[in-house]
Amino acid sequence: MVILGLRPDQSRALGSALKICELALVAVSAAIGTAGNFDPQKAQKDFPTALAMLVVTLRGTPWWGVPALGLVLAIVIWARKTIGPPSAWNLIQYTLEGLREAIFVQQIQDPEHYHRVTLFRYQRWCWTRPWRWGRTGWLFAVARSPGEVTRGRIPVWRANTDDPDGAEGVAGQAFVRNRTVAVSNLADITGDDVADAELTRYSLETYEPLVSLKLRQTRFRLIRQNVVLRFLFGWRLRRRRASARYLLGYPVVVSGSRWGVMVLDSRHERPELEAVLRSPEVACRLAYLSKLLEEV
Amino acid sequence: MIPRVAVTEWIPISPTLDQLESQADSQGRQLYLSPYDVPRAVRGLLDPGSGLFRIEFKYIDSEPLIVWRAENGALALELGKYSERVYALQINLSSFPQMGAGRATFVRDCVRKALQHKASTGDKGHRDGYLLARELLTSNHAPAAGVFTPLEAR
Repeated sequence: MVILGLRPDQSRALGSALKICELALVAVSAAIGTAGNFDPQKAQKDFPTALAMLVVTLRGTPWWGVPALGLVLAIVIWARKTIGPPSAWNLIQYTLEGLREAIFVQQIQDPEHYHRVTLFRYQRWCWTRPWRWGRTGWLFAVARSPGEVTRGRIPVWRANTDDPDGAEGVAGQAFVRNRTVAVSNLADITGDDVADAELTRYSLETYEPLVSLKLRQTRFRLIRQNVVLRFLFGWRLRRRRASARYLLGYPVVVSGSRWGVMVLDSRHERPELEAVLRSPEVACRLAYLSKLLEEV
Repeated sequence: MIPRVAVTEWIPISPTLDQLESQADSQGRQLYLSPYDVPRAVRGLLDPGSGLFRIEFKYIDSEPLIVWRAENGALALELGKYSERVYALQINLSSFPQMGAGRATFVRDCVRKALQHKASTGDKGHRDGYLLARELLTSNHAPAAGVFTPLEAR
């Protein structure tokens, strides 16, 4: 249900709800059909009151009731199939965790959150952000290991193949170029007092818009300096994560077409992942992931 | 007696980083071929009955195929419909009756020329894929040179 911009957990919940809806519609249709076999007067005499009332109500269904239910049922089945099975995202998350372990095998001693894998999905329109309606081609985070995708915390990257120069981030560049893009030895821009030159260099190397880097810096500086803001948004400072020192993105392909991008980020300056990506274990896990992504 | 098809084992491929390196980047970023565009394994098949020699590549992903034929019809490439990856090369050996004992070398040369032709005439975005296939099959100490062994046995 990428058209609606739903997150995987929302897709999962909607898929389960639609499944229940489908079963309920089938049950109601069957009940209407069964009620037609009973004589209402006899039912009122023989059956308990509640059941008799149900039979009478169901028998009163207009002639178009069952066809209408059938139509609704067809729509529900179509929507459920479009979303994909609710279990698919669980499997994708599980595969992503295995993939992360296989890729960062040499960094196994480090805390998990030092090295992350994020899966982005390409979407033509960005319905969830009205200020971006005018432009097409976006990459949305749909799964991450370790952790999960939280709305607003992972940037949406622009990736329009008709405008490759406008592609943002390593994710966007990997998508439009259809290449593995690796950037190593990045500057540490975690603090609030990073020089503009450092930010500019980081922006040039990672294709991240300079404006968003500066806005982030300013926001954190204001929260730190202002007592009221610190009281209200101090949790943001505590949750602030160290900036990535290494980024690698490569396009994810499903049935020969570009589906999205996988981005690996690390706090190490040069974890040498390019070689690991060629290992048979990683290739097997990528093949499995591609098969799973055909379902969603 | 029906001649038997000679098939090599799947030969695992692990290209070096130099072979995967793509165009240079002015900002110091390293660009490589996508893992999906790098073959995982390759094998050669020779059918003496029909005189066809075939080289097959295995990738992470699969997709519908299209066939590209050389002008003389002796060589055909099976390419991915969307990605233009080289999935297979097929050579009709009967089109080259002049081949002698050195037919493995002759076929290797044909393959090299065909892949070079596709790399120079095709879409820029797919050029690196053809060049990698050429490198893997026909360069000196090529990791996949073993696919030509069925041609050497007479």
